[in-house]
Amino acid sequence: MAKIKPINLEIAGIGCQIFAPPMVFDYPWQLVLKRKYAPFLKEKINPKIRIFFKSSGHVDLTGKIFKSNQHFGEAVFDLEKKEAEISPFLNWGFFDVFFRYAFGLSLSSFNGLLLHASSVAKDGKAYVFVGDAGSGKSTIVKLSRNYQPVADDNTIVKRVRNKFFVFSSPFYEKKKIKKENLVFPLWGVYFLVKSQRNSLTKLSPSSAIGKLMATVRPYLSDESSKRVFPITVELVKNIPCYTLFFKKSSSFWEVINED
Amino acid sequence: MKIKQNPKAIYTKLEDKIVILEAEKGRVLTLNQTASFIWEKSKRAIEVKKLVDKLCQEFEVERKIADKDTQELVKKLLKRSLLLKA
Repeated sequence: MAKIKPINLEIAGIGCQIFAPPMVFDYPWQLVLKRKYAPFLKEKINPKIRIFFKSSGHVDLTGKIFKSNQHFGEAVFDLEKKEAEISPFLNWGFFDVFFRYAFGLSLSSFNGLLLHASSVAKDGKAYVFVGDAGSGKSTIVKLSRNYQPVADDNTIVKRVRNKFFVFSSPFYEKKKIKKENLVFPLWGVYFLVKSQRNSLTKLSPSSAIGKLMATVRPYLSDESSKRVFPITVELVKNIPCYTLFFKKSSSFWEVINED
Repeated sequence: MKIKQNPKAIYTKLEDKIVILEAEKGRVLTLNQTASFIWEKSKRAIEVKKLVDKLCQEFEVERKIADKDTQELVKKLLKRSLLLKA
């Protein structure tokens, strides 16, 4: 079998290699992945995460992370080696969820967190918006039409030389956000509450940390939470966190700007 | 009864509050000021009665209330294996 040329991606400065076969039956894997992750393609990378396609039947399910989890029954990820195997008899939708999972788990080894959050850049600074389903994460992005959308569901936060930055992710977003490879310094974290009027309440680091831990993707296990905890502690110590009560109009930016 | 912190517990101090990681659950437990005081005094094995003494010395609190609160906290933290019987 001819050697597969990997697809090289750089996400938040982390090199990812995907060894996808060009075609499986009539599914053009390489073409699909290159198109979906286009802004993150890079010729030369320092590969840290590798994903292999295992072409013969089912992949080995003895891996540490997925075991027999039904959603990931056709994929396995070894967190120590940061190597994954995935069945080629799937589609991009499955691949993307799996890739997000593997990337999210690996990120804490690189001082990063994948947050279930939306983010918007304004005047060269990133604002991260956190909340449960239906709290308005996507709405906030929609109401910020004049500014740069970064993410509406998957926000990457990473510490680089003692500063926190927000990176765009290549993963699927609920709303159609034009995918671009973006990075901005993190300015503030805002926990969303829908309200009749706009107001901002500063959160102490000790009250922000629990809320923030709850938004880390994927769901934290024993091992992953031990790696995520120190990064989260540093984040709440260095970045201001707020509760943002907001009404459905772009006027919420006024209370953010006031602070 | 003598108790002490579980040496495996992962925690930090933010402002004057202790935040302990509950690793299995992937969440944190934030202790209030008095609970944080008790946590810090349990670094080495200590009698619960002695903890109550220290709490009364440090904070203006009735012994009866301090005793009840300490017992409750210790019970809670023992259940979560954050404190251990020494």
